[in-house]
Amino acid sequence: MKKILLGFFALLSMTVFSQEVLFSRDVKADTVRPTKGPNLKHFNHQYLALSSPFFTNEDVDFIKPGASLVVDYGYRYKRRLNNTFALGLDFSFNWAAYKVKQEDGKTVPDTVINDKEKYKVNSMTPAMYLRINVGRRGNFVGKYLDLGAYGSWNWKKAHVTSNKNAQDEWVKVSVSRLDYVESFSYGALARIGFNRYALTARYRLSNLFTEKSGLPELPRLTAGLEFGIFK
Amino acid sequence: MKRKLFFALFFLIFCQLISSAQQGWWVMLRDKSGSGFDPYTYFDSKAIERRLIAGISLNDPSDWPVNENYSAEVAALSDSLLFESRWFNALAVYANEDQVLAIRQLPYVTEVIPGDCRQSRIASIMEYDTAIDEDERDLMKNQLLSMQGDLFKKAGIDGKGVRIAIFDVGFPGAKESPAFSEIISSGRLIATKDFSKHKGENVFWGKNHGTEVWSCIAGKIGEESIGLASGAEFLLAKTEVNREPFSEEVHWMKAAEWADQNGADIINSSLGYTNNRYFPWQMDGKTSFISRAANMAARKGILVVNAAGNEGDEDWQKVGAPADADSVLSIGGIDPETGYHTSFSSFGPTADKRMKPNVSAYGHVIAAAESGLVQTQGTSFASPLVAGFAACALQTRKSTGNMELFRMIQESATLYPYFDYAHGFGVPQASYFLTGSVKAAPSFDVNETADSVIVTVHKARIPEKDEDYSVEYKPFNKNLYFYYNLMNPAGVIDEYYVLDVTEELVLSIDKNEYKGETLNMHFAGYTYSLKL
Repeated sequence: MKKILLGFFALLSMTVFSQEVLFSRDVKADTVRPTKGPNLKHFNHQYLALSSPFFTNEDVDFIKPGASLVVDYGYRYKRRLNNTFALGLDFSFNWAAYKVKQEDGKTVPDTVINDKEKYKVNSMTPAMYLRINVGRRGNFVGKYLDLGAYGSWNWKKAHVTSNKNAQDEWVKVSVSRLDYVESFSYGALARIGFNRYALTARYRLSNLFTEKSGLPELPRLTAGLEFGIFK
Repeated sequence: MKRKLFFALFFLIFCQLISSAQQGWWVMLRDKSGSGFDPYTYFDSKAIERRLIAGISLNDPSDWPVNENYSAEVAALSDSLLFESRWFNALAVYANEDQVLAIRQLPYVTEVIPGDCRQSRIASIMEYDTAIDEDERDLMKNQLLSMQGDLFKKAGIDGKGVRIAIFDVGFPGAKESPAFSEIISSGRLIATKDFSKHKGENVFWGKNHGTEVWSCIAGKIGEESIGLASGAEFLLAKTEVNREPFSEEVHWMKAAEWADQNGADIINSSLGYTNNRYFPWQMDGKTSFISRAANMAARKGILVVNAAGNEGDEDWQKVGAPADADSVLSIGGIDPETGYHTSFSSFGPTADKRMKPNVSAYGHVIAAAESGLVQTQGTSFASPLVAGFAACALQTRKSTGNMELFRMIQESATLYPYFDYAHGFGVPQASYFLTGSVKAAPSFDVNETADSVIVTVHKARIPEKDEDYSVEYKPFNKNLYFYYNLMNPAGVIDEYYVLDVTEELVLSIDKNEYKGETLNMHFAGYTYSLKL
């Protein structure tokens, strides 16, 4: 029987395991140098950021900055140039809610005092950036400063008011496709990061409200924290 | 005003980022002119004894101190001077770019090398409990039995007279632990040094890792041994801190020179430096300073034992530094359940295609932690098991030099002369040092035809099976598996395998597919090689 089996395998003339392979390793495959990684030629990952609008001198103080929030969920690509410099592209979805203060003398968008009132601007934003890394490191994102520019398509522009009626029920009115909110905007961005964590800031250079509307501008500056989603 | 404030804040954070990036540098010096050196006052008598055994000069220039004037001048131009390395004639400093420019101008400075580094300890605690159950007790026995530790014990070999230095993150609770009470009460804890926070000689703080590692070298609870070298002498160095980039590599080097000065025969370092600082293709034993320092320690006659790393199932996969150094005995991890490579144990070869790890031991162990016995895993614990074994081996051959001991430990291992990049030469065996090596009888036949090679094992060597027709696993049954690899003409393994053996016919290889390669096979202690 043994001889028959030997003859059979000899005829097969190919590598055959008669027993269970418990462990195997192809070293040649191991030694292929990877090109994808945090400090390799290509790196991409998803990220999540939470920001808040901040008032600057130019802004009229009609927003509640603490209650207003911008959420970004995006995908980032980084192309390493050398250990110090990299170029990158971001593409993100952004959900912004600007809560309007309800106080005497309110003018934006009108003088009506509501229980709650906000502007919702949802957008899709491509961006490009230059990354400056600091310090020597291995395959590790490390410490960095990003400087870049972005452009947004504001695909949802809504003004939402909520008021309690006589029955103590909330009545919510949402007016969308606002013609006095620009569909496109652009600005500059900066990030300071360490590995997956970053302090992020965006400054909008374009106006969000049209000139024709005569409304004071929404805060241009948003800043917050970003969390990179990668291993 | 608010906008200015915001941008000022952003700028300040950026400046902080830059300033925190002010990094460590190695300042390499041209010479040691004017340095006085008396080996008999500098070295411990054990260090002198080790040098004499290994035939190493007592007055080697690499042991001379750094020129005091050079050191003072460089220190004056830097923010701080961390360390003067005699071995490398180098100064470790913290300095900014401007200061480095000034240092480079000094006539006796040959090179200024950036030296930023972060480390990862190579272990992860699975569970913590002061009591151990029957299975855990078996594991504790088998972690030593797998190296034939019982034979050393019967022969009264326990590492007596051998001095072992351990570099780790701290040894909390070790002074109070019964696992080390005999060592401490008999005065065999020779010296301790905290290199991490300049806290003098107190190393009994920090994380548990060092305590557990020490127990795997020499721990003993009553009559039950955790490690083999309970009779050895010890030097404990705390070199590691959390997230301290540059200094840890410096601490390791300081500790190595300190261990050398204090007569260490063996260094155990369950540490590895990987992707925070390096790329896998830099693991060539020459790029990282710590690997060069480990090689230097070996040149001073010290056997350096280092964990291979726990990157086997991570993206990195390969051994880290200093396990990549050619004179470091790098230790891989074995899974006690299966008896072969445990998934997390890092693989070789090195970036320049040298074999690593060198040998293996259990990567899942029982260790003595701060307040009791714990089951833990990592090549961090395989390394001290072998360090304890090495101390016993050295006790049997006191006049053996470190690299000779290195070679003998490899030769003693279960798979030798067969090797692969997961197990090295296998698990070291005590019998080699007590009764010598025994040449195994052939355990399989190799039949060649024009196109193929067919391998059949001897029927009597096939392991018994249980009712489910699966192999009945015994604690590290070295006869259980058929190992083979295909090695190219450059001596580098291209593929390697471990096969279960349940019947006579094991393997049929197509010769044309592997033309020019060498087929190396190992089963039941017998190794056979065939050029295809």
